[in-house]
Amino acid sequence: MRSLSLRARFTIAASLFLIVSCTALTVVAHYSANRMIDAVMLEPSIVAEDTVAGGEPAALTEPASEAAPAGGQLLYDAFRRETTLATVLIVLAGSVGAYFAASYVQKPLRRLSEEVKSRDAGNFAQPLPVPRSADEIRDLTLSFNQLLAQLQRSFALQRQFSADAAHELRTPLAVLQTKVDVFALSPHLDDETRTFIVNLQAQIRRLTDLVEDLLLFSRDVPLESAEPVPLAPLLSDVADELAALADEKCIAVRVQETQAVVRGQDGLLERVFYNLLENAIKYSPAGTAIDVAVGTDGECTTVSFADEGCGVPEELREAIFEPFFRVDASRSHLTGGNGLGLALCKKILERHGASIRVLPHTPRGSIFQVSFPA
Amino acid sequence: MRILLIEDEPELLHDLARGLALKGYAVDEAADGAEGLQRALDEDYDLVVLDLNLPGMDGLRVLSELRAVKPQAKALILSANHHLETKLSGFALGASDYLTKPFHFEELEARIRVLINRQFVQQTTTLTYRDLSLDTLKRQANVCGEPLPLTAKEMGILEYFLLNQGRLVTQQDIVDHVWDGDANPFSNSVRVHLSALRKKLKAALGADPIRTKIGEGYLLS
Repeated sequence: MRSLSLRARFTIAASLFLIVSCTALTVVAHYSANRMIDAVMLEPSIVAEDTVAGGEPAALTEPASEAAPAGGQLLYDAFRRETTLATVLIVLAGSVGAYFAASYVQKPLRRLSEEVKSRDAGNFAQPLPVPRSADEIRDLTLSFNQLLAQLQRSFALQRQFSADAAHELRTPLAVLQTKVDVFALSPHLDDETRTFIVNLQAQIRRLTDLVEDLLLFSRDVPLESAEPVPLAPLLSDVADELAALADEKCIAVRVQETQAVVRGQDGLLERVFYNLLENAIKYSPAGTAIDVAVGTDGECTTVSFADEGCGVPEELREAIFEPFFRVDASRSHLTGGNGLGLALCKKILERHGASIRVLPHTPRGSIFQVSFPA
Repeated sequence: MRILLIEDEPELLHDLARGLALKGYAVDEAADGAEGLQRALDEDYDLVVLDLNLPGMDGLRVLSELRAVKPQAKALILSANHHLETKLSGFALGASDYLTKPFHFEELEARIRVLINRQFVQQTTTLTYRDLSLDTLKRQANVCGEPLPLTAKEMGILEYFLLNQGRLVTQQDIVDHVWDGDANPFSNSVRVHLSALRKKLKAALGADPIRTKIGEGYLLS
């Protein structure tokens, strides 16, 4: 059976069923018919009328109209009942049998589907095991493995590009950073020079951060490692870090207690939550409150940051997660940052299998909602 | 204290040498992997600062060949390569530390200080930071003479920070040194204990001496 295609296997199975069912039906029909005929032969009224009429077919029907039809009708009804019952039973039996036989054909398909589903960030490089049959499943598996290999190559190319770009960008930045830092060690520098150095160091820092963010953003690869990350200590630390910033604006940051745990990388998630809370603080007017809430509903765990700022207009709610997007088109750097914050958050979250969206907060403001899979 | 710098980027090599000399170290330079290895084998250095992307011989190879002949040799890797696998390879080959480019010169200097002074520092039993002192034998911490009650883990974390002042400390570093690298069911245990420690330090010193560098680690300076 293994060396036949699915199509052939299915045809053979269907033909077998047809043969068996029809044969069984025919056998039952013949048997019933034989029994009926035997019973008719034995029925005296019918046979008697036959001989009296002298063999004329017309005579058979007329005189036989009274006693014989009743008996004949009964036998005919019995025949009909038996054959109908037999048909129903055979069809039922056949259907049930077909259902189980179908699973035999469907089993390799289901196995393939499970193998495909089991491919995740950790093992997507492993080719699927190719079945030894010579059927469409094997072809499908081979095609899929080809696709996996192409994906692997594509990731490798991208990793290489991003590594090369990284090196090329980081090296001159390192030279610049060290040069300025070492120059700053000189003992006899006047105030003007010192100010110049401080400004230069700030710009180098800004460029370095941008380069690192860009590289992090462009490395489209799965997480390096994943562990359980309890949310409570992480959110609490992030809030503490931003406490000074919040206090300056008299903004109250309330973090809900939670026992929830998600899977991922602590450092990356710290960045995401810091980014989201920092944004909430930056874009909230003084004296308002920010609520950080965590909810689980079996399906997923959500972390939301609700602020009372000016909110995000509906038409921009998708666009804000794009790289270098600014709500204010002049790309003002007064609020700081490099325009990659939300885009990077989205990227990092995607690598965690999570998603992010922004909803309106009532009466005003935004809710940034992060959803992690269960 | 003698340091050997092996770095192929001439500007960087020169500026690093100058900066370290200003800080009181005796510095030798090599711009090529093979040349660097030869010098490290011929002479005795307290530390080799090693770039990975080198002409002549790749940095990791220089490291493994050096450690094969001189297992006590200490090396700090300085590289634009941030990949976890590369870091792990470096450590597996015996590097004592790994600093990614670009970096602040201060940070490099702090790490060098920590590496070279390790032996000396381990001989003293009391570590200090401003008004804070930690007696490593008696396992007691004091602020301005007043005892500061700390749990065992908090004590361990504080000790590690005091031994690595000025140097960025990652959660992994803390796991490796305070938990002895034991696999944690929750990596966040570090976060929880560290958070508790910082609250206590803030209460005792008036301000939290440990700074967070989001997504990277912590710094006591």
